[in-house]
Formats: sequence, C-alpha cells, structure tokens
Amino acid sequence: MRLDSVRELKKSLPLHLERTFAAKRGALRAASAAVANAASRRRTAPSFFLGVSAKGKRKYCLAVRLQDRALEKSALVEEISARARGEVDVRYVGQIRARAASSLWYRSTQRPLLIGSSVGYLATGYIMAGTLGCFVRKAGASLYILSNNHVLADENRYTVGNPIVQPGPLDGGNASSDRAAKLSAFVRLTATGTNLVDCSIAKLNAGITEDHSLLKGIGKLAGVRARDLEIGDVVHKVGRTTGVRHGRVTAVELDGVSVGYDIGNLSFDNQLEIEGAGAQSFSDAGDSGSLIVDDELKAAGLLFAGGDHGGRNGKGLTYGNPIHAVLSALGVALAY
Amino acid sequence: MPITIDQARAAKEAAKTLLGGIPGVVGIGVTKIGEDYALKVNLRASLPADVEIPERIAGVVVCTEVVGEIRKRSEEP
Repeated sequence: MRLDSVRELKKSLPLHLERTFAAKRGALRAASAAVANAASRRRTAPSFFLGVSAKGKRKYCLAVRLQDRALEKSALVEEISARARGEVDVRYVGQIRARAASSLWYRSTQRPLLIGSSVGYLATGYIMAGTLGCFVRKAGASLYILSNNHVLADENRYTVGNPIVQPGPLDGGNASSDRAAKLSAFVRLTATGTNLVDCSIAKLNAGITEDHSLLKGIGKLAGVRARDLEIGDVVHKVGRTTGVRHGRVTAVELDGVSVGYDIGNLSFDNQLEIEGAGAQSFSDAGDSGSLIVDDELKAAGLLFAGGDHGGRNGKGLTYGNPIHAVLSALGVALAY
Repeated sequence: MPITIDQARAAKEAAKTLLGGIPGVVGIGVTKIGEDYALKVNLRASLPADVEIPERIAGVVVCTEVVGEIRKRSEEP
C-alpha cells in the first residue's frame, strides 16, 4: 500500500468501525477513544491503536496494536483487516502507560535541561521518547536543543514551530506542563536517495533554563573533536534509556547503512559504528539523539540507530552521524 | 607494509560495486585488524550458501559480520 493510502485508511477507520460495531458500543467507545487520544495520559482503558508500518522500500501497511488479547481473533480485527485488504501488521503489545515519575533522572523532568535527558514531540495516536543530545547556537545568542530528526521532527512530519516536550511523551511529558522548546529546523530524511545525517534543532522557550556543559555521570563537555574518530577509539554517551554507557569504535566511513524507519528503510553513508564496552550494549531504543563524546569528552557523533546483533560482546552495534556533518548540515555551533 | 586507510577506502568503492547489489548487505565500511586497515561488510542475516563474499578485495581483507535489523533508536510502544 502507498503511504498516503495507509494514512487515509488510518484516519477513516475509527468512524467506520464505530458505525459497523454500533451494537458493541461499550467496547468501541474505548477503542475509538484510544485511536483519537492515544497520546493522552487521561485515557483509561484503550484496547487498540492504529499506525503505519513499513513493509519494505516504499511499501506500507496498517499497523494494528492490540492492548487486549481477546481482540486477537475478534470481529473487530477481521473488519480492520478486510478494510485494509489484508495489508495489516497486527501485534499484541499489552497496556502501554506513559512512564511518569521515573526514578531515573534521564527519564524525568530536568530543569535546567540536561544533556542526555528524555525529549520528544507530541503526536496524536502514539507516544515516544528520545534523547536531548546537546545544545547548539546559530548566529546570535539563542540556544537550541540538538537531537535527531526522528526524535524532534517525527521523520519530516512535524511542523516547524510545534512544541517539543521534556521529558518525552513516553516518560509522561505533556503539552500543558512540559513544553521546553519549539521545532526550529531539520535535515529532511529521504527514502529515495542517500542520507548523511538524522538531525534536527529546537529553539528553547523563553524562561527554560539549561546546563549546556554537564554530561551527567561523565564530566564536562570539552568542545568538538577536531579529527575524525578512529577505529578502536573509546567513546561515551548519556542517553534517555541506558544512561551512561561506554563503547569502542568498530568501523568508520560505513556506506549503505540500511536503517528501518516508519517512512521506510533509509540508506545512510559515512556513518560511525560502535560496540558496547564490557557486557553491555552502547545504546538501546530511546537513546536516539545522544551525543557521542570521545575520551577527552569532545563531541564526536550523534547517535541515531542500532541493532541487537553483533559486536564482540554480542550485545549489538550502535550507529552515529559524525558530529561535523551534523553541525555543518544545520549551520550551528556546539554550545559548551 | 601495513594496509593504509587510503587503500581500504579505494577497496571500499570496489566493494560497493561488487557487493552493493546483494540483498542483505546493510553496510560497507572501514575497520582495522591489528595494524592493517580492512573492509567491514555488515549483513542482515547469514548469506545463502551459494552467495560468497571474497576474502580480499584489491588486496584488503574483508571482514563480514551479521548485525541483524538496524532500527532508529527512539522508543515507541
């Protein structure tokens, strides 16, 4: 299915289902509320929600996420599947709750804003979180958050000027009390050519304080590394999911790195590859946007992707954009 | 004489032409074995028995590794 067809279906289905299953109004009321209001923390008993899933290059299907196992073989799912002509990706995901009031500092509210803390955009239909990488300046004194396009700009789909919340919605961030910045600019991700970076900036709101030097648990950010990272270099990061982790560069100048996004499998050139130190991975889902620093705590990369296989410890590999490519593409300078 | 990074870069371009079309190759870059630079070819999964990756390209050692699916690292339910 084409992306716009899936989106149209996703938009029209709740009303269709409401009509079709009018007799089961009680169950559907909760389902419709979930679709319309999945990002809201006010919802009580959602039973499913809809999204878009990539099936390969430029092929998409309707993602159906069930929060009640009883729905797996229900008439409701059959009807959704029929409407999508079988092009569905149905999975049971259980109850999902925003992780408010986490005891981990990097998943909770941080004022002043800290490098490594949870951040994200607001969307109807789902919640997410990534990592605040660091702070940057354009011409002038204003400060901006640096993170990934997919963390701040929803893979090109978020509108410039829209709010960025800290913590991210998955960690309880909401529009009423957690607005920290506004999306300012991003480098577009493309599914039809080669990408070099996955990056975006958001301008801090007036009155929002920050500490642009502290890498909590590591030390003080010491500037931008002048030379490219070398194979074997030791690196560090602090991120929203795994906190402080250490790693080692395993490959540089990687081309044709194929990364799964909502908008398809995207290809990246000139990327860094890192394995975790000891028995840990270097990153996990939610660490996207983390600043990768070298052993002198100089900025060296922007973490954006990873997998669960590979590396000497078998804990998976992490991928990052070289920091010079990021700063250059956005026309910004690191604040430190 | 150890293999230099420039030799590895040149071999990488040849490798992209040679291997870029193989389904399941999800990255070709530069790594190091001891003092020698080498090529790193990342695979989504083990290749079928009838598909072979050369041990060297332009005199540069080729290392393959199964890295699985690579995904963006934001967290969503």
